[in-house]
Formats: sequence, C-alpha cells, structure tokens
Amino acid sequence: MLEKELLDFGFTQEEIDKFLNSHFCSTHNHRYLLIKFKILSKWLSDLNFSIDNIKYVMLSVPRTLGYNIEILNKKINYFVDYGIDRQSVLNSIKKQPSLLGVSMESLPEKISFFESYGFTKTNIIYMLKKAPSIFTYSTDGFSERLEKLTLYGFDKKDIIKMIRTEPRVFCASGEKLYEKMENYLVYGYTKEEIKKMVSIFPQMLYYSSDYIEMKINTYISLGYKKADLLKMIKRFPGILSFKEDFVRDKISYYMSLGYKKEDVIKITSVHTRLLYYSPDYYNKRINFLISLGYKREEVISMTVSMPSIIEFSFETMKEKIDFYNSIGFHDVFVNYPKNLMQSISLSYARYMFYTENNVEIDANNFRKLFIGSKRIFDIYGVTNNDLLKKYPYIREKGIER
Amino acid sequence: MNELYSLGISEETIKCMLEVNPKINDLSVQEIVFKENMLKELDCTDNQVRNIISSNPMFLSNTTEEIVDVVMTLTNYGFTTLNILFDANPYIFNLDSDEIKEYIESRKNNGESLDDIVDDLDSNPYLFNEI
Repeated sequence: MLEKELLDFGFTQEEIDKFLNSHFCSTHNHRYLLIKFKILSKWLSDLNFSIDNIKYVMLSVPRTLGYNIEILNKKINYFVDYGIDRQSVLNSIKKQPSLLGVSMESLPEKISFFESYGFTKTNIIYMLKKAPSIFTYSTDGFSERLEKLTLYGFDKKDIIKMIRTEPRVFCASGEKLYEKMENYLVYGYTKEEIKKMVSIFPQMLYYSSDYIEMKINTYISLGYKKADLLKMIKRFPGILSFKEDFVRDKISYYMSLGYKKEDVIKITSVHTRLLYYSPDYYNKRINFLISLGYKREEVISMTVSMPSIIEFSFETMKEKIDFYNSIGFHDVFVNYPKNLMQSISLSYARYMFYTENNVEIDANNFRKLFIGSKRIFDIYGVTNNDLLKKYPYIREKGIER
Repeated sequence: MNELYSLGISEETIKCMLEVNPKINDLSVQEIVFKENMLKELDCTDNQVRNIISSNPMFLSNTTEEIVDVVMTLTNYGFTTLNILFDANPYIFNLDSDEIKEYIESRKNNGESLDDIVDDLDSNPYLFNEI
C-alpha cells in the first residue's frame, strides 16, 4: 500500500527504495509511514510545495515524517515573527529541508548567538534566505567556525562582513575553512594577502586546490603570464570564478574593437577590472572618445598606452578634452595619453601661470604643462600649491582668449 | 541617487557607476555625503569630488578606515596636494596602504631618494596603477 501510494504520488522505484531503506523508514512499520506520509504531503502541498519539493523534503530528511505538524507550523511562525516573510521561510525549507528538524528550543539560542556576535537582524534574515543550512548547526559548530577564522587573523568586523557577503562560506567546518585558506599559500601569497582576498571574495573558500590550479592553467592557456595572473587574483580574486568561455569572449570582444590580443592581455593584466565590464560599458566609452574628435584607431592606441582613460567618467573625459582642445592640445594625447591623467586644476593653473609670464604654451612645447613639480619650483620658484591658490580652476570659466 | 545627480553626474555615468559598483544603490544619502566631505577635507573642489566619485565608483564603498589609511600613508611620505593627486588618479583609493608602502620602500632600496620618488609619483600619477 505504501509503495503504491508513493508510486502514485510520483516517486520512482529507485527513490522509493532509497526512502524505505533510510534509517527512519526502516525502523517504522509501513502502516505508520503511510499515515504520516499522507499527513506530511498534504501539509506541504497546502503550503504550495510542488510534488518535486515534497519528494525532496522526504528523500533528504525522511525523519520529517515523524514530526508533529503543529510543531512544524510553530517553527515556520517563529521565523515569520522574527521578521522573515513567510514565502522566504518556505523557500528556505525547500532549499534546506533539515530546517524542519531544528528544535524549537534551539532556534532562539542560535539567533541570539548571532546577534550577540554582532550580526544585525537584516544580516540574519539574509543568512537564512541565502544559506539556510547555517541554522541546522549547533552553536558549538558556529563557535568552532568563528574560532578558526579568528585564529587565521580575521577580526569580528571582517568575519561579519564576509558572512554577510557570502553566508554559504559558513557551511564548511572551521577546519575546512582554514585548510582552504592554506591552499593559497603555495602560490606565494602571505597569510595577510589571503585574508584580504577572502574578505573581498569569500567564495574563494569554496575552491579546492585542484580547481585553483585548473583556473590558473586556464588563464595561462589564454595568454596570461603566471606572475601577472597571481597579482590579478590578489587584487581581483573574483576572476577565479570566471569560466574560460567568459574570459575568451571578453578577449575576443576587445579584439573586435581593434585591439591586438597581446594588448588585451597586457591591459587586463594591469587593469583587471576591464574583465568585469560589459561590452556596452566599454563601447560607450570608446564611442564617446570618438565623439570628442578622436579616430577609432587613435582611441585604441591611447587606451593601450593608458587604459585608465576608459574609466574616466564621461564628464571628466569631456572636461579634460574640451580644456586641452581650447589650448590646442587635441593631438598631443594621441601620442602621450598618460598626460591626460593630470588634474585639470593643475593644468589650468600652470597654463595661466605660463601665459601671465609670457611663456607660450602650445602643442610644440606641451611638456611644460606636465613637468614635475620639483622642476617647476627649481626654474620658477613656485610650488603646485602656490599655482593652485593663485589660479583656481572654475569649470565654467575655462580659458578666456 | 539624487545626491549623485546633485554632484553634476549624468544619468549615463550613474548607470556605468552602478555597473562597476552595484552596492551604490544601497548607500544612503548620508553615506555618500560623508564620503564627499572626506574629499572636501582634503581640499577637493566640487569638481574634483565629482571627478573622483564618478570615475572611481568603488570609492563610495571603501571604508573610512581604508580611505584614512591611504591618505595618512601618502601624507607621511610627503605628498602634499592630495586633492590634485586623487583628482588625477582616483583609483589610488583602491590600493592597500601596505602596497603603496612596499612600492615606495622598494624604490628607496634601489637607491632613489624619497623626495624624487614622491615627485615622480606626484607628477606621473599613472604610476600608481603599476603598484
């Protein structure tokens, strides 16, 4: 009867065998299990659990059949009263059915543990939604994990930030977390560096040493040098999560804009952020520079020498180019794009200083505008500070000719 | 978001900022204003504040301690016009102060004087990108 009921419900024979061979089912008679199955499946169905959800609950945690429905409702209501919307609680249970097995008495104790550590209610609600299994651990389990992280050098603030960002990190044991961090030592990172990387990207604690090695080899096969790659990972550990196709597509995209492959590798080795940007982001900026009067090949060449140009905001780009255009410097930056980085305030102040001192500044002697502050002081006896005070840049004023 | 508009940042730029740093959406006006005021304490003009924030959206998510750390490190090495330096290269704020120290100390160990190193970095702020 029980087997037929399960088959009619939608269990496969394999699932039925697994279910009936579980410890809970093998220690109870089928008549009892049949009654409990009907009660639990109705209750879950009334909560809008699909057949697949219900099967998952029963197969993952067969002992849920033994739970009292009234108590199960109390557990759900406990989380709802805490401030979590009902649907999120139910979704968490669908993800992690063993939440139903957490004792009523231990729930306030666990919440209180997190609150006293420093997690806010918002953090705790987020943790329940993102990593509900955290609440199936004992407070001793929590302490063990926190201790291991503290031992590694993380302070409370770091730990809260890390778990707030990625609560699933907390699902591994303290030993495992420690071991995962140590995996990165073999690449020459110091403990301090690993700590920082984990703070930025806690998900790197999921990765096995094989996975890390595989990722590094993938990037090397795409053209990156190992030494550069390790620096890239240090600054942007999130690139460990990028799939090979994703990076390959990014490289292809930049090549389609006119960059050579070796330029893309060179630029992204230093400006790894560019691997994160969407094609739309980059395209808009290239087109914006073109709209400011540069040819596409000039923009490509400028951004190979000075990739940071592409990260200026549109306002900053326009302001700089408009100013330099007004003093005849438009073409200077095609060959010397690094000078574009200088603050407009400083360029303006120096330009005004030279003009007032009858020093002609044009595209032929543009370097005067960008020389070191020590040199200007040696020649003219003025510091940058003096110039900035005397010739304050006012955006609307620009250069009056 | 209104606070960013009031800085003179266009909608298009704000979209790009959100792409780089989606957490900006979660920041309160007070948090953004606090960061603006930190820049003004460094004598940044409104224009420079706009440039720094719009070109380096990650700055808004840096903690106060991280920002102060970078500022103090540079100040202790003798950088004076920090408003100009950050206006030129807003990404300096994304560096670790230890990285800046390591870079400068490494050049000192190679025989350069601190004065020359500071002048070089001050005059060529793109060099910070190589740290």
